[in-house]
Amino acid sequence: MYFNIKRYFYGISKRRFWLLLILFPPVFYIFVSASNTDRFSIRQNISISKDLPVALASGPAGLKQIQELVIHPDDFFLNNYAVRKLYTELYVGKAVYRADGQFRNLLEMIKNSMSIKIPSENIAVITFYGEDRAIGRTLVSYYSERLVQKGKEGLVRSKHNESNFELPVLMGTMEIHEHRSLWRPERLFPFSLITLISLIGVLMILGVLEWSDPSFKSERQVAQYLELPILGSLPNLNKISASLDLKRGK
Amino acid sequence: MNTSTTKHLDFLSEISEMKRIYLVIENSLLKNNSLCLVITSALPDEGKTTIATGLAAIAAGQRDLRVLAVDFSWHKPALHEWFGLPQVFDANDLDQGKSILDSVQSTHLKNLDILTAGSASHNDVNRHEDLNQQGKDIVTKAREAYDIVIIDSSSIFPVNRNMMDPIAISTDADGVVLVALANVTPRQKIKHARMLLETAGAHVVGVVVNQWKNPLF
Repeated sequence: MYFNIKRYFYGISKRRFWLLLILFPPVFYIFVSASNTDRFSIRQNISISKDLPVALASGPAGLKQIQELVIHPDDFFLNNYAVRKLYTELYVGKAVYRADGQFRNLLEMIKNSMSIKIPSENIAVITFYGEDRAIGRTLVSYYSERLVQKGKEGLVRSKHNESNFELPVLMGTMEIHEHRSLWRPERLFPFSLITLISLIGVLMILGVLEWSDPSFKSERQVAQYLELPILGSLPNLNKISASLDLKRGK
Repeated sequence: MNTSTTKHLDFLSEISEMKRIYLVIENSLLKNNSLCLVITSALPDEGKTTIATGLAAIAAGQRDLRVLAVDFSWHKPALHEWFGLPQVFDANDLDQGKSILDSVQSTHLKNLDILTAGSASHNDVNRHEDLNQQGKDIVTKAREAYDIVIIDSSSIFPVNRNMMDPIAISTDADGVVLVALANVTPRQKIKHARMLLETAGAHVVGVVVNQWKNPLF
């Protein structure tokens, strides 16, 4: 057993440059991952006054200003009615159960990927940043139209004269930006797994190469294979010669 | 002979493992104070000459027996280098009626002489057969003149027509020692070599494992 372990480590050290192959699959994985678009930012500009009251309060007659939505975006994006309506649009005909995994996933995604900002007096921007381009487009479209709709309703509810505020409208089309990155935290697990598999694979190949070497490694192997007596085993004469020279002071 | 050569020879005869190898061979093969031993290997450069030299040096120092070390590795001679002697043997002299004993050289070790590799100039298609017959004649004459004859032969593979075939020589010897270089000699080659020797009728005494290049030793 000890001999086999020693032989295995010798085989590894003899072909140590093969160990560089361990790096190939994980590095390949990183480059492939980095070259693929895996994040999308999708934004829609909306022409809307920041002081315009929108009909998004809990009560039927309540109003909120857009600035409040920026401070508490969940009131806008995670509104129970809005999410249920979105869910039935996305998964046509499917009944909504709050405990349903798909529904909870949708909630989680909206919470993590949607945001609203007011970059200037009369512009609001709804942005999605996430992995799924199609869902992102749907979400941005849905919430942009909802904001426009609620703005119009708010204008009616507040009985403001329309001349005080312009009616909110979508500005142009959605802007979609693709993002790539050399590293993301969620790649750690596949990266580690690939590295581990690569390590095991290369070590196995080195083992196979060492054990497929047809030369004799020990006297025992010679005796077993040739079925001849071993008359003796000469040590490394160079080493002995050197050590004798040392002892003799030569 | 220079001091470096003497030092190397003394060193070889001091190795206890070498002494034991000789002891085993002597006990198993020496009959009526006569022994003819061939040292060969499957492939070149596996340590045949080192072992042949060591065994010859030990044999010469053991008892009052006359020992001759013969270099039959005509294709790649090396024995004379161990003894620091020139290659003086010309095989063509044998055709002119000279004896091999005229070409034998004494060494600094008592009772030990060597016959260096021959330089022959045969250049016909029958050279292989001529060389083998010449080799057998040399062995016969050496055995008549010496008690112990140790032959440093060429390797069994690769075969070429300029070689003194160790298989042909081995059948006239009392025993053959196969040398295997650990971590180098392919097992199939040495098994093939053993099979050829035994099929030809040679007596393979055993194997000496040369651990020179074995890091696992």
